[in-house]
Amino acid sequence: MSKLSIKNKELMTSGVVGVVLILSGAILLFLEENLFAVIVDCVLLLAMLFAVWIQRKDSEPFDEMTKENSDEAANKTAYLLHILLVVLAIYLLISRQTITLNGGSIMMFIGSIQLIKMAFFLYIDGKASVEGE
Amino acid sequence: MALYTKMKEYRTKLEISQEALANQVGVRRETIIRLERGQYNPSLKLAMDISKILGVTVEELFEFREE
Repeated sequence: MSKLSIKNKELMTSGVVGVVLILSGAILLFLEENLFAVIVDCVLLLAMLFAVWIQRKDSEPFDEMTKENSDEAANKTAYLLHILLVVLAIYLLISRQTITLNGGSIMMFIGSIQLIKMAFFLYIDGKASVEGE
Repeated sequence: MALYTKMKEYRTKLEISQEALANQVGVRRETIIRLERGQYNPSLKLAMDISKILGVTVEELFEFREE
């Protein structure tokens, strides 16, 4: 059986976790406590378990170049986040508005960051896969 | 300073595929591709592992030149 590529592993772990966090946050924010919300929660829990299972599967080595690409993606994400926070702070200062963070929005925020980092990593790492022998 | 390498030359001489070399040194094939294109500076350990498999010294394999 062929090994799982780093790209697929990243999509099926970080990607799934990011989407699950965003959806969980959305459920907390927008859905009332009913049977539908419980069913969606169960599906999300299964998706999370799938991500954990994929994490344990045999894959390509997370070698030194992959580590560097992952670090670069994390740096770019942090840079983007700082810019967003500065823009938001300036906007709030000018408009004299306040923001309230609750559990759901924090989960959506963390999920979005996770997806942005994954997108940066796939972009940076994908540049190497264009050419073969 | 740019990295130049003769990795591809030595590898093809020994008829080792990128995949096989990658497996032997424990990295991904993409890492070997970037190394051969001079787009990635390997760690000393990786450079030594590759040179050992290709039967040459690190200095013969990798070289930094002024651009």
